[in-house]
Amino acid sequence: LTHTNVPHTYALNDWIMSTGKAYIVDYDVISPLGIGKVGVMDSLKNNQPGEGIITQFSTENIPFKSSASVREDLSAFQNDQTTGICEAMKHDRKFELTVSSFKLMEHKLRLLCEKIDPSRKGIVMGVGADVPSYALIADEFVDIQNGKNNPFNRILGKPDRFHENIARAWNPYDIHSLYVAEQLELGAFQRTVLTACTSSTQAVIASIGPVLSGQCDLVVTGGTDSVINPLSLISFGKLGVLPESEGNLLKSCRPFDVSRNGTLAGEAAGFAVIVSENYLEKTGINPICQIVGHGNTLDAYKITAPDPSGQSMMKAISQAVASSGWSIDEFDYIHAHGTGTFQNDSVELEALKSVFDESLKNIPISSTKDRHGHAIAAAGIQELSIVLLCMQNRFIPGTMNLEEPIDPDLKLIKSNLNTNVDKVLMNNFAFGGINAALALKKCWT
Amino acid sequence: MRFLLVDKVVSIETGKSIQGVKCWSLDNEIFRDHFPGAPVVPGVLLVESVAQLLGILIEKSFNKRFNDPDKVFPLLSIIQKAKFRSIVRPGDQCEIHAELKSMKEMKATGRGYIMVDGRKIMDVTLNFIVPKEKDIGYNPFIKKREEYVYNITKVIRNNALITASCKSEAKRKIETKVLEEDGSAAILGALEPDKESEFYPERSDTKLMRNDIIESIIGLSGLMKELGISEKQRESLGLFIANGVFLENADTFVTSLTKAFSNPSIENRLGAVYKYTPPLLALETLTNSSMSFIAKYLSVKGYNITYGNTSASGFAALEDAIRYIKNEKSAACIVGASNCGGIYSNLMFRKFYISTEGWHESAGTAFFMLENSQNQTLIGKPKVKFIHTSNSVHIPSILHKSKQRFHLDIVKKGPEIDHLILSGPFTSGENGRLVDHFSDAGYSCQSRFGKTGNQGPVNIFSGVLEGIELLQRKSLNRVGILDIDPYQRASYICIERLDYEYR
Repeated sequence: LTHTNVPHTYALNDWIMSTGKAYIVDYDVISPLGIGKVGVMDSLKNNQPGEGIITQFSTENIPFKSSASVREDLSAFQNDQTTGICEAMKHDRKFELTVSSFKLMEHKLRLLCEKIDPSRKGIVMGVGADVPSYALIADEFVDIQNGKNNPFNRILGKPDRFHENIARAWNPYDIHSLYVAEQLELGAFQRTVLTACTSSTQAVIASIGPVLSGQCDLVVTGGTDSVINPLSLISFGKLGVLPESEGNLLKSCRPFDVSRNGTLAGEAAGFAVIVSENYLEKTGINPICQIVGHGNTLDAYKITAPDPSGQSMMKAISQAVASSGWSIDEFDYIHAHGTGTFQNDSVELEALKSVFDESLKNIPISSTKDRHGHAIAAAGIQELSIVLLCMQNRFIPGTMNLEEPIDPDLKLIKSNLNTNVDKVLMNNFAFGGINAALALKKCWT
Repeated sequence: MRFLLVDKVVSIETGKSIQGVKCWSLDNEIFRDHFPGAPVVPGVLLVESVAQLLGILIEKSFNKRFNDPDKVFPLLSIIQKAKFRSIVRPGDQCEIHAELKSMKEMKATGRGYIMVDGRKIMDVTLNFIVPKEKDIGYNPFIKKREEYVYNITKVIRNNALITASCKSEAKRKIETKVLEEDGSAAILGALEPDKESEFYPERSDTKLMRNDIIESIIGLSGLMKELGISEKQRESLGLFIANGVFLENADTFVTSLTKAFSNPSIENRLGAVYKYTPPLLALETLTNSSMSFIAKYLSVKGYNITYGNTSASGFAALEDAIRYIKNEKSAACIVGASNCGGIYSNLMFRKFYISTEGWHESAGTAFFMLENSQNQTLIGKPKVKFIHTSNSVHIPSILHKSKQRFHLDIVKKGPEIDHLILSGPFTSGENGRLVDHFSDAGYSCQSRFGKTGNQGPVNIFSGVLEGIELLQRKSLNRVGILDIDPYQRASYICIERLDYEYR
């Protein structure tokens, strides 16, 4: 690969005419619901949940027993990887998911990217926090406790000079975007967005800018995260967003239900390709959907809870609706963030109500987090993929575990619908009060 | 009379819009016949003046739009919807406004109108065909026309301005724990936030915050108080933050794990970890907590993004913020970075990127208030404008250290500069070589090496602040700042003195 033989520079000043439009031409996802579009769609249609008992490690002494994890064997995607990459994948589930989802759509990505100059294509990825593998560090700590070693040194280990940029316990955040950039020669920029649950939604928003301003023709966007490891479960559990499992271990996440008491730990990774109108004209490729609007605001309220007034959430949603230019009754579907935590769901519905007013009663609202769990930094890309699948298949998934809705007046759907899905609003909100929303329009081809 | 119907171009935003002026005078031959005794500017000439102005815009936009070095020669093909609302008389100054509606490889459409003394005289929509020079064949008039177009074009760009800034740096070097197995100590620069400050965060929060975040909050709160930013302005203020390698949670993890493992008789280790983990540990795992803290204490609620990938994230945040400011002309935003310079970063830094002789890791924060130059109600007093940002198209390998560099290229391709500031995590040898390299190429340059230590994403902000100082002190016009990250990706920013007008 001649990744460095590109003597161009790329400058913001060389902006050219903005066409004002950004399109998604392809996407794919690895989700607890399945590998790739077909698997995910089948699980959605057949109401097959991704939830299961944690078997990857012993949960004997912690109260969290269930999660939605990718159960399929990913080793098929890991052939022909170098030792360095394999090493990094072994310690970092996120990176394993990145590599696998890249391999899943590698062929399509290469076709889409191949004819563009490296200075006209870039990547923005949303990545979750790096949490060291418990198994890896537990043994080190026994040594430490015996006074043998300095913890930092042992955990890090002496890096092998061959694997220059890869650590053992913690990986640098940008290995995900750098890995993909290297494969596809995405030279304009390689960026990593770190905003927890909104990471990949904000990554999508951050990739619209360069496309709209004519700086780039194509931006690969996506995200990856996994919280199914002991230390992450403990962290989120202590924050009170994961329910402690008692009795019935499954169906623990019930978005918009009066009895909701927490979300479901999940994992996912995926990519979407965002292109300019110029690119579509040149290649003749038919887009799947157009990103017509977005909203992005901060609560500035508390670090541990959303603003109960939902002011900023409302502002983000109304920014997305306003920038789409549609009237509020035109929306066909609202894919809610709906984590199933006590605070989020009610505030989210209140925010939606204050934007959509009476029209909200006619718009189907659902969350799919009860099926695939909350993939934190990959939640955005996973749910974007589901929304795109819905558009293509004229299908709306219901909130499976919903029995008694918080607000019976609203169209909080429990079972799946088969209907046209053209104009969709999609929400993602992050812990600490970061609100992002996207307005998407299906492209008829 | 000559057929030059644009006297000067007042402003141009390539790809978007253009404004020009044409003055009509009674000594023009045309008024002898149009009409005898009652001079009126012919309507067709007004249409033509809009067409000539749009022609300039199309010509200027075309090459950038299609990455095509060929000269183009826009020709008027359709006049649509021309409407004359009033007449233009000799002595009137026509302000011509025009904007591009669409542009394809062979054709373009634009819309224009003419104002005289604040009244709209006419408006028109025009279509052009855009043949290339080679399609037309050799024509001596093209050269002539080109001279004319370039002589009257004065470019006023829509710029992002820095109107205020705050910064703090590690004041002293402290020796910390023995980090190396061989007993050698690492030198770190750490921040010590002023606990007496009126902006010092609440006690319950400071337990969770890193010192650099506290320092950012104190600095920014002071800045915003000084500028007198109202509650309402804060609601729409954007916030762009770069956080570098956010790995300092290592500390907390290690503390709670050490507690859990301290009793050898505990068999149930995972349970013990659960027990000893503080409830808010996840805040350190949630990568956006620094953004949330800053937003909370500043009441900033607008567009936001947190970038994190080594020192290049500083550039990513800055470039994104500049784009935001250029697109949303009325907006203002805060952009900045903080670096904690903790034990873990230092260790990573020393082990992975450089051997011991390099820059030491250091803490620091720096924030700018950015506003649009066309904004009527600037919050702060403009200090400097950004005229150029670019980065090398260099895709680092995650497995190998890269050797190839295009640092000189990126500076050469940018605008002319008077002085260059270099920053990045070099070794002292590398630093010398880089300075020599640029000096040999004829650049007056200085390096930030050794001044503050490596501050990761803060480097580029510190460079810009140093540039501002130079612009003010040394009466330079333009300064370039080149920052190189550990992966050898180069980011380049040019700033310009406010009153400097480049022709």
